[in-house]
Amino acid sequence: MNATAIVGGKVVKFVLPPALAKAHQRNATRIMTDQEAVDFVETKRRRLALRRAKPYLESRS
Amino acid sequence: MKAVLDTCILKLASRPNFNNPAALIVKLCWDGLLECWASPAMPEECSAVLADQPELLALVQDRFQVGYPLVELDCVQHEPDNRFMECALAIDADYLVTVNTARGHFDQPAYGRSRVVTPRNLREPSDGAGDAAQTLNHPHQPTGLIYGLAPFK
Repeated sequence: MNATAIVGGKVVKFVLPPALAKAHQRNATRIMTDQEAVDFVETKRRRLALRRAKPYLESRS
Repeated sequence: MKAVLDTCILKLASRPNFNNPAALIVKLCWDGLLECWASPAMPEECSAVLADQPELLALVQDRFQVGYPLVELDCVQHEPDNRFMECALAIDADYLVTVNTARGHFDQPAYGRSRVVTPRNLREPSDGAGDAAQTLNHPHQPTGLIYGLAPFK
């Protein structure tokens, strides 16, 4: 599977490694902007932090 | 060439965007042309973000090298971003690749010797390796180093 990147005004075409090819097939049409990726990661971080803090929060309640 | 990748880069790489420089970064790592590093604090976050992409997570675990920062920093206002910077400084990374250069995140052009770049501005110099030193001397004018490799042309 091929992909394209525009880097510094140059169009670069390349073959995806197998792991990325599978991920792209699985995600099919689900594209994501940079900001959506940042938001996604932040949401995961918040959930992770909350999960880590859960024993402490429970002991306080 | 050593690089530390923000988790957003891996998430973006997994999506079939028409213009996908993040996937190119992962491809370079896969080909062994870019040394990607992580610290022990990062895999848990990667696991959470890439939970639905087991193959990509396996690639990260397989190809990323692990560095062990000895200090905990708080130079970046957004606390979780400090884990990436600690790793970059510990391994003396050339690049810290992120898409989040907003204020309070990776808002400086460089931290120590590690330049903050986005996948879109990490590219090959037009006139040879001599630009590497020039790039370090002028962190505000990133010229990048690694793109334009023969297999991709």
